[in-house]
Amino acid sequence: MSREVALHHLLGRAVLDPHGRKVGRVEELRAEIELHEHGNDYVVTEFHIGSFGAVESLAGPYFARMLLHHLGRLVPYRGHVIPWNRMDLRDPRHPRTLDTLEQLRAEQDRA
Amino acid sequence: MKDGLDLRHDVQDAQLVDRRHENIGRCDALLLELRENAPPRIAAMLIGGPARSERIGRWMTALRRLVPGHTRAPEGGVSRIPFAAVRSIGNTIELDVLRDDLPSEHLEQWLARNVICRIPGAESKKESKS
Repeated sequence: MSREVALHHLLGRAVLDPHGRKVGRVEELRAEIELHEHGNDYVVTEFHIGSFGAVESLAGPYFARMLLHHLGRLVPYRGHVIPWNRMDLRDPRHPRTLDTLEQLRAEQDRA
Repeated sequence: MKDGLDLRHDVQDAQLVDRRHENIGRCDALLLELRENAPPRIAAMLIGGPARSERIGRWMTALRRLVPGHTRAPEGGVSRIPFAAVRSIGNTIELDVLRDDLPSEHLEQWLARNVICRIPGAESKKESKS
Protein backbone atom coordinates (compact mmCIF):
# COMPACT_ATOMS: atom_id res chain seq x y z
CA MET A 1 0.00 0.00 0.00
CA SER A 2 1.33 3.46 -0.84
CA ARG A 3 0.29 6.95 0.13
CA GLU A 4 1.38 10.44 -0.73
CA VAL A 5 2.89 13.14 1.38
CA ALA A 6 3.88 16.65 0.33
CA LEU A 7 7.55 17.54 0.65
CA HIS A 8 6.73 20.69 2.63
CA HIS A 9 4.99 18.54 5.24
CA LEU A 10 8.27 16.70 5.87
CA LEU A 11 10.71 19.63 5.79
CA GLY A 12 11.34 21.09 9.21
CA ARG A 13 9.80 18.12 11.03
CA ALA A 14 11.60 17.04 14.19
CA VAL A 15 13.11 13.58 13.80
CA LEU A 16 13.33 11.32 16.85
CA ASP A 17 15.45 8.25 17.48
CA PRO A 18 13.93 4.94 18.69
CA HIS A 19 14.21 6.17 22.32
CA GLY A 20 12.27 9.33 21.57
CA ARG A 21 15.28 11.68 21.64
CA LYS A 22 15.47 14.46 19.11
CA VAL A 23 18.01 13.91 16.34
CA GLY A 24 17.32 17.15 14.47
CA ARG A 25 14.99 18.48 11.83
CA VAL A 26 14.52 17.43 8.23
CA GLU A 27 16.49 19.93 6.15
CA GLU A 28 16.82 18.32 2.77
CA LEU A 29 15.90 15.21 0.82
CA ARG A 30 18.32 13.82 -1.71
CA ALA A 31 16.83 12.02 -4.70
CA GLU A 32 18.44 9.94 -7.39
CA ILE A 33 17.24 8.46 -10.61
CA GLU A 34 16.14 4.83 -10.56
CA LEU A 35 16.09 2.92 -13.80
CA HIS A 36 13.59 0.13 -14.34
CA GLU A 37 11.81 -1.67 -17.17
CA HIS A 38 8.87 0.71 -17.47
CA GLY A 39 10.87 3.93 -17.39
CA ASN A 40 12.75 6.06 -14.89
CA ASP A 41 11.75 7.37 -11.51
CA TYR A 42 13.35 9.75 -9.08
CA VAL A 43 13.45 8.19 -5.63
CA VAL A 44 14.55 9.61 -2.31
CA THR A 45 17.82 8.03 -1.21
CA GLU A 46 18.86 10.20 1.76
CA PHE A 47 17.33 12.43 4.38
CA HIS A 48 19.53 15.26 5.63
CA ILE A 49 18.81 15.98 9.26
CA GLY A 50 20.33 18.96 11.00
CA SER A 51 20.20 20.76 14.30
CA PHE A 52 19.52 24.17 12.78
CA GLY A 53 16.38 23.17 10.95
CA ALA A 54 14.55 26.15 9.61
CA VAL A 55 17.56 28.50 9.81
CA GLU A 56 19.52 26.19 7.53
CA SER A 57 16.53 25.91 5.23
CA LEU A 58 16.79 29.62 4.63
CA ALA A 59 20.51 30.14 4.55
CA GLY A 60 22.57 26.95 4.42
CA PRO A 61 24.55 25.36 7.28
CA TYR A 62 27.65 27.60 7.09
CA PHE A 63 25.69 30.83 7.27
CA ALA A 64 23.47 29.47 10.02
CA ARG A 65 26.49 28.44 12.14
CA MET A 66 28.20 31.79 11.62
CA LEU A 67 25.01 33.63 12.49
CA LEU A 68 24.61 31.76 15.75
CA HIS A 69 28.29 32.29 16.67
CA HIS A 70 27.93 36.01 16.07
CA LEU A 71 24.86 36.06 18.23
CA GLY A 72 27.05 34.79 21.03
CA ARG A 73 25.60 31.33 21.26
CA LEU A 74 28.00 28.42 21.06
CA VAL A 75 25.86 25.82 19.39
CA PRO A 76 27.71 22.94 17.76
CA TYR A 77 26.15 22.02 14.47
CA ARG A 78 25.14 18.41 14.14
CA GLY A 79 24.03 17.10 10.81
CA HIS A 80 23.21 13.54 9.87
CA VAL A 81 22.63 11.86 6.55
CA ILE A 82 20.09 9.09 7.00
CA PRO A 83 19.61 6.54 4.20
CA TRP A 84 15.96 6.05 3.21
CA ASN A 85 15.88 2.53 4.64
CA ARG A 86 16.90 3.80 8.11
CA MET A 87 13.97 6.23 8.33
CA ASP A 88 10.55 5.26 9.62
CA LEU A 89 7.92 7.33 7.79
CA ARG A 90 4.85 5.33 8.76
CA ASP A 91 3.66 8.52 10.42
CA PRO A 92 5.13 11.31 8.25
CA ARG A 93 4.20 13.92 10.86
CA HIS A 94 6.45 12.15 13.38
CA PRO A 95 9.42 10.76 11.43
CA ARG A 96 11.83 8.50 13.29
CA THR A 97 15.24 7.07 12.60
CA LEU A 98 15.86 3.37 13.16
CA ASP A 99 19.33 4.18 14.54
CA THR A 100 19.92 5.62 17.97
CA LEU A 101 21.49 9.02 18.50
CA GLU A 102 24.73 7.30 19.64
CA GLN A 103 24.89 5.22 16.48
CA LEU A 104 24.33 8.30 14.34
CA ARG A 105 27.00 10.27 16.18
CA ALA A 106 29.48 7.40 15.87
CA GLU A 107 28.70 7.24 12.16
CA GLN A 108 29.22 10.99 11.85
CA ASP A 109 32.57 10.82 13.73
CA ARG A 110 33.74 8.00 11.45
CA ALA A 111 32.88 10.11 8.40
CA MET B 1 19.03 15.49 -16.64
CA LYS B 2 20.95 15.65 -13.36
CA ASP B 3 21.67 12.35 -11.57
CA GLY B 4 21.09 13.60 -8.06
CA LEU B 5 18.64 16.21 -6.85
CA ASP B 6 18.28 18.13 -3.62
CA LEU B 7 14.52 18.38 -3.57
CA ARG B 8 14.16 21.50 -1.46
CA HIS B 9 17.03 23.32 -3.13
CA ASP B 10 16.64 22.18 -6.74
CA VAL B 11 12.94 21.45 -7.22
CA GLN B 12 10.65 23.10 -4.69
CA ASP B 13 9.80 26.64 -5.84
CA ALA B 14 11.82 26.18 -9.04
CA GLN B 15 10.64 28.01 -12.15
CA LEU B 16 8.72 25.70 -14.50
CA VAL B 17 8.43 26.08 -18.25
CA ASP B 18 6.26 24.17 -20.69
CA ARG B 19 7.41 22.49 -23.89
CA ARG B 20 7.25 25.88 -25.68
CA HIS B 21 9.49 27.36 -22.95
CA GLU B 22 6.69 29.56 -21.62
CA ASN B 23 6.67 30.15 -17.88
CA ILE B 24 3.94 28.19 -16.13
CA GLY B 25 4.68 29.19 -12.57
CA ARG B 26 6.69 27.59 -9.83
CA CYS B 27 6.66 24.18 -8.25
CA ASP B 28 4.34 24.97 -5.36
CA ALA B 29 4.33 21.48 -3.87
CA LEU B 30 6.08 18.23 -4.50
CA LEU B 31 4.31 14.97 -3.72
CA LEU B 32 6.23 11.93 -2.55
CA GLU B 33 4.76 8.47 -2.74
CA LEU B 34 5.62 6.49 0.38
CA ARG B 35 5.87 2.79 -0.44
CA GLU B 36 6.36 -0.37 1.58
CA ASN B 37 9.96 -1.64 1.46
CA ALA B 38 10.91 0.76 -1.31
CA PRO B 39 12.36 4.26 -1.31
CA PRO B 40 9.87 7.15 -1.49
CA ARG B 41 9.18 8.02 -5.12
CA ILE B 42 8.67 11.55 -6.42
CA ALA B 43 5.15 11.21 -7.75
CA ALA B 44 4.03 14.63 -8.93
CA MET B 45 4.34 18.35 -8.60
CA LEU B 46 1.49 20.73 -7.92
CA ILE B 47 1.19 24.19 -9.41
CA GLY B 48 -1.41 26.74 -8.47
CA GLY B 49 -2.56 29.16 -5.81
CA PRO B 50 -4.36 26.61 -3.61
CA ALA B 51 -1.21 24.45 -3.36
CA ARG B 52 0.87 27.48 -2.42
CA SER B 53 -1.65 28.91 0.02
CA GLU B 54 -1.82 25.56 1.81
CA ARG B 55 1.93 25.91 2.46
CA ILE B 56 1.49 29.39 3.86
CA GLY B 57 -1.32 28.58 6.27
CA ARG B 58 -5.05 28.24 6.85
CA TRP B 59 -5.58 31.99 6.85
CA MET B 60 -4.19 32.18 3.32
CA THR B 61 -6.46 29.34 2.18
CA ALA B 62 -9.45 31.21 3.62
CA LEU B 63 -8.35 34.45 1.96
CA ARG B 64 -7.98 32.69 -1.36
CA ARG B 65 -11.56 31.43 -1.23
CA LEU B 66 -12.67 35.06 -1.50
CA VAL B 67 -11.13 35.39 -4.97
CA PRO B 68 -13.87 35.41 -7.65
CA GLY B 69 -13.63 32.60 -10.16
CA HIS B 70 -12.05 30.34 -7.55
CA THR B 71 -15.05 27.99 -7.36
CA ARG B 72 -15.31 27.66 -11.14
CA ALA B 73 -11.68 26.67 -11.56
CA PRO B 74 -11.31 23.12 -12.88
CA GLU B 75 -9.70 20.77 -10.35
CA GLY B 76 -9.67 23.56 -7.80
CA GLY B 77 -7.18 25.55 -9.86
CA VAL B 78 -4.37 23.13 -9.09
CA SER B 79 -2.35 21.43 -11.81
CA ARG B 80 -1.03 18.04 -10.85
CA ILE B 81 1.82 17.13 -13.14
CA PRO B 82 3.41 13.68 -12.90
CA PHE B 83 7.14 13.89 -12.29
CA ALA B 84 7.59 11.67 -15.34
CA ALA B 85 6.64 14.73 -17.42
CA VAL B 86 9.92 16.42 -16.45
CA ARG B 87 12.11 16.80 -19.53
CA SER B 88 15.11 18.55 -18.03
CA ILE B 89 16.22 20.15 -14.79
CA GLY B 90 18.56 23.11 -14.81
CA ASN B 91 18.00 26.74 -13.94
CA THR B 92 14.40 26.04 -14.86
CA ILE B 93 12.49 22.77 -14.99
CA GLU B 94 11.12 21.96 -18.41
CA LEU B 95 7.90 19.95 -18.46
CA ASP B 96 6.26 18.04 -21.27
CA VAL B 97 2.95 19.91 -20.95
CA LEU B 98 1.26 22.89 -22.56
CA ARG B 99 0.50 25.95 -20.49
CA ASP B 100 -3.04 26.38 -21.88
CA ASP B 101 -4.06 22.89 -20.74
CA LEU B 102 -3.27 23.49 -17.10
CA PRO B 103 -6.07 24.12 -14.58
CA SER B 104 -3.74 26.42 -12.63
CA GLU B 105 -3.89 28.85 -15.55
CA HIS B 106 -7.66 29.26 -15.04
CA LEU B 107 -7.38 32.33 -12.81
CA GLU B 108 -4.90 33.99 -15.14
CA GLN B 109 -7.14 33.32 -18.13
CA TRP B 110 -10.16 34.59 -16.20
CA LEU B 111 -8.29 37.80 -15.34
CA ALA B 112 -7.17 38.20 -18.97
CA ARG B 113 -10.76 37.76 -20.24
CA ASN B 114 -12.58 39.77 -17.62
CA VAL B 115 -10.13 42.43 -16.50
CA ILE B 116 -7.14 42.93 -18.78
CA CYS B 117 -9.13 42.82 -22.05
CA ARG B 118 -11.47 45.53 -20.76
CA ILE B 119 -8.66 48.00 -20.19
CA PRO B 120 -8.68 50.50 -23.07
CA GLY B 121 -5.92 49.63 -25.51
CA ALA B 122 -5.59 46.03 -24.36
CA GLU B 123 -7.53 44.65 -27.32
CA SER B 124 -5.34 46.42 -29.85
CA LYS B 125 -2.24 45.10 -28.08
CA LYS B 126 -3.67 41.62 -28.37
CA GLU B 127 -4.37 42.10 -32.08
CA SER B 128 -0.93 43.51 -32.82
CA LYS B 129 0.63 40.53 -31.05
CA SER B 130 -1.22 38.00 -33.21
